Amino acid sequence: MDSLMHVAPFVASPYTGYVYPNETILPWGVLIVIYPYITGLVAGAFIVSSLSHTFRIERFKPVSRLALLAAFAFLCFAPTPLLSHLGHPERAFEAIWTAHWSSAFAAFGYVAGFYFILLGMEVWFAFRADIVAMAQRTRGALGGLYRVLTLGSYDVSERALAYDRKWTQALAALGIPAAIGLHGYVGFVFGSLKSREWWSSDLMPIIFLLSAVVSGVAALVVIYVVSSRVRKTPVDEDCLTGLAWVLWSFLIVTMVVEGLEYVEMFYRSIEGIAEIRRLIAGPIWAGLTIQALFSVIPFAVLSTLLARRTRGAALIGWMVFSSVLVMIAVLAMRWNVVIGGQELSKTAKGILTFTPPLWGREGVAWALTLFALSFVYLWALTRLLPPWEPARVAAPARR
Amino acid sequence: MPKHIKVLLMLLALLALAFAGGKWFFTPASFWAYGHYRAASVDEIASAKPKFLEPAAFSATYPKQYATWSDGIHKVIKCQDCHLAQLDPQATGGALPTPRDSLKLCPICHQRIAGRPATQPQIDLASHYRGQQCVSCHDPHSPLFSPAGKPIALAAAAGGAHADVAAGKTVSVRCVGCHGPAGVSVAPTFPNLACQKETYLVSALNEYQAGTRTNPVMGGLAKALNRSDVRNVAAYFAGLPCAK
Amino acid sequence: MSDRPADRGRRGFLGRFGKMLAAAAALFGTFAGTSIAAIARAAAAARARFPATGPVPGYDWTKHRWAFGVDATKCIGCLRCAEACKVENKVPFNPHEFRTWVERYVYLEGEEKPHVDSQDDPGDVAAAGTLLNYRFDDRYRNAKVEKAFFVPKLCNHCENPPCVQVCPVGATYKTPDGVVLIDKNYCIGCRYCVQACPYGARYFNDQTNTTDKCTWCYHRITKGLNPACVEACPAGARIFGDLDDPASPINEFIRSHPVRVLKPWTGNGPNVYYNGIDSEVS
Repeated sequence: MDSLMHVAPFVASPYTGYVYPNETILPWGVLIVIYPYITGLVAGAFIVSSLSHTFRIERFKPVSRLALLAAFAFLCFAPTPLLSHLGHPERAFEAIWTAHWSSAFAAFGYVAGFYFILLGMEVWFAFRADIVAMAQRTRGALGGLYRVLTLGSYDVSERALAYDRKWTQALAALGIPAAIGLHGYVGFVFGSLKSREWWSSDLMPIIFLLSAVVSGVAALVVIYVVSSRVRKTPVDEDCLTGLAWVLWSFLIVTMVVEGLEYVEMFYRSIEGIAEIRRLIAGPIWAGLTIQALFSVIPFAVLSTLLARRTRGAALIGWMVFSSVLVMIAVLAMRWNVVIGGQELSKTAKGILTFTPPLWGREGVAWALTLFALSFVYLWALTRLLPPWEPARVAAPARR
Repeated sequence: MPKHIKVLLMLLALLALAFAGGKWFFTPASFWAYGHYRAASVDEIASAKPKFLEPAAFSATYPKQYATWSDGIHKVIKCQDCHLAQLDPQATGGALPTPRDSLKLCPICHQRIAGRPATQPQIDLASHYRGQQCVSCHDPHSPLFSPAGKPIALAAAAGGAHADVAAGKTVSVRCVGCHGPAGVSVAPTFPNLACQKETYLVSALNEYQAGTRTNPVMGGLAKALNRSDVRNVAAYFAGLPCAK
Repeated sequence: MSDRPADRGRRGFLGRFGKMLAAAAALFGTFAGTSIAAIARAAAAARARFPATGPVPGYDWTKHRWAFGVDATKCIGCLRCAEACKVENKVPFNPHEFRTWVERYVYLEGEEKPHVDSQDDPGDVAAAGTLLNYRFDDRYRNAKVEKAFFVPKLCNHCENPPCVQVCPVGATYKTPDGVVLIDKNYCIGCRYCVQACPYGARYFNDQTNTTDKCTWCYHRITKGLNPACVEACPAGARIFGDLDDPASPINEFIRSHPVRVLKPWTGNGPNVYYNGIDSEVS
């Protein structure tokens, strides 16, 4: 009879008050924290590339192709946490073949798939001339890969390139609503659930979209500065100041909207607010503190940088500092939403405290590995398709 | 149109074709027969074999126990409620395990704990024949009878140790205002309680408690009594000499 | 473009862009059209192979409308239902995975809010002494209890099930006889439905790696039997029946009791009717 006794392989969370028995194992763990996070990085990177490609803001040119590659790399990795979370990953394509029209998750297959094709085409057009050149230059397997990527045409005449520009423009025009759709969708996944007090909010898609842009721009700053250091090339300070402006403006809007969300929640003080207070003071207190501090500090730093028109090493150093903090803040925000929402029991009578396992499929180690792999993949992509542009104003070498 | 654009468009068309093909090929055959789901799955679920069986399924294997059970107060419970159902009788050839410790099993329903309705017979584990196996006095298949088949006194069966008449007298101070100190009522609209049938008094009070019998005065008074109060006060009045 | 007059370039661009757009629209239209046609054909083919009376042989699902009743005034908290359910439906025997469970509400004197626990509570698990049995412990033995009752819980088989709404693949659905089922051979295990259920009725079964929940014992009710929990209940606290049958116990129960449903504000339209609970039960 002992064989019938079955200890669940998942971590049961301790609780106070009363929670439904089935709630003691959180359905979603760190993988679903990292999933909207990686998806979010796509948005910010894509916005920067659009500022250059679509809106023709010249100062972003040095990072425009890097941003495009970064967006593509993150998009390739966005589904991986979700896939490894599934009980039956081998059935994942059912969400394409028999997509249920009323499900936000089913939309992911289509929205992300559409966006993937679009971004892939944008990358291809942006690098086509280079691909053709490398296909003619490179030998061996790598050369073969380039030749496949040319799709059999070495045509880089002015007429062909004019076509490419038209396509790029059309794709970018489609890409902006697609990007907004993708991130609005991620917010909708949470905001549309009436079962969870902490998620059910009309502002959720907007908050996810804004914080996604913030985290993506911050990630791009870090990637740009680090890659320049590794390549021993100067950082384009005009470009970096431009990124500081983008980061600053999205950060302020994000902070205001998120603040409004909390103000509204406490102002309305509907039933269950006592449990929300307990959640905030309890399990997600640290997460919320990180989210708030790591938003306010970078905001202050960015404001100072922009007001004082800081240049040189100070600009670079403080930008990286702010960006890393912002990235952590957005990650904390994802945790506070995804985990916090589940720590607040549906009974409105109890609070769970979730501690993620370190190892295993739902473990922190695997989530971090997936996150790291997306950067490794980006590195590999930059080796295949070097996106580097010369800095227009060589900054004085100050190391 | 340059060649690379043509190839690209062809690739996109191929992709769309692969999508349509995949949709056609991978959609299960019974999908959409009734809605957005595999119709075949309904019968997959419905064709599972029941495991919690009607007691009749065990009548051939256990004719004696079945007969005792069918005739007793435990007819409301099913074989597998007590013969722990973890064993799938289909897997064990219809054999049911015998619970080893009735002192652990019976209190699952009959231990007095907060929340059980007053109508449920409950015992105080600490005082009701402490430490003795329930089955040494009760036939588990018909617990109002002993294993030898003799009826068990109702007062005890209704909820534990024998009634405490002295304690009942203490409780009776709440009743005597209307029903009289000697159980003989003070007004024609109130009944005498002295030498009334004990069982009747218990069930009347239980009905007031459950709300199945209503009276503005008795309802409130009865609800203030716990099970032993009811038993004790009933025994006290039943024992008083009848009114002349 | 710089070698052409601006207006011509613009017109040319618009013209070509328009053509591109038209071509894309045509492509998409054809594609969408073929897809929809293919789906319609597949659906028609599937429909042809299944009878109108439903996919279960010998059972007409258009003739029933199942519903469930819970009489909390009768429940004795013996948890025979929870054990019977686990065996009947191969639910793993641990304190985290349940198709049905029982909650205990206890109001102590002088307190406004109830103390609530269920059989998964560590104290109750300790009282049972094993994960294979359930029982409520005697924790209120020395407390001044003002009011207490037990409330059996299970899937509400809602009229507008939010779990079905969010399933990305169509692995969970509502049948015409009113039961919400899960296709465990099609479920991808994303657990979105677990999140969407406001009643905590769904759990992730770690043995099948799919979501699972109460089916009202669909394999029993289609054979004319009661669900296992109803069968196991010694107190008559669980009532099951067919709303379309006036003589059914569920209709009798709903007629003769002031019943209510859980969390009606969700708009889900739950189909489990409760008697004898208060507003703290949700």
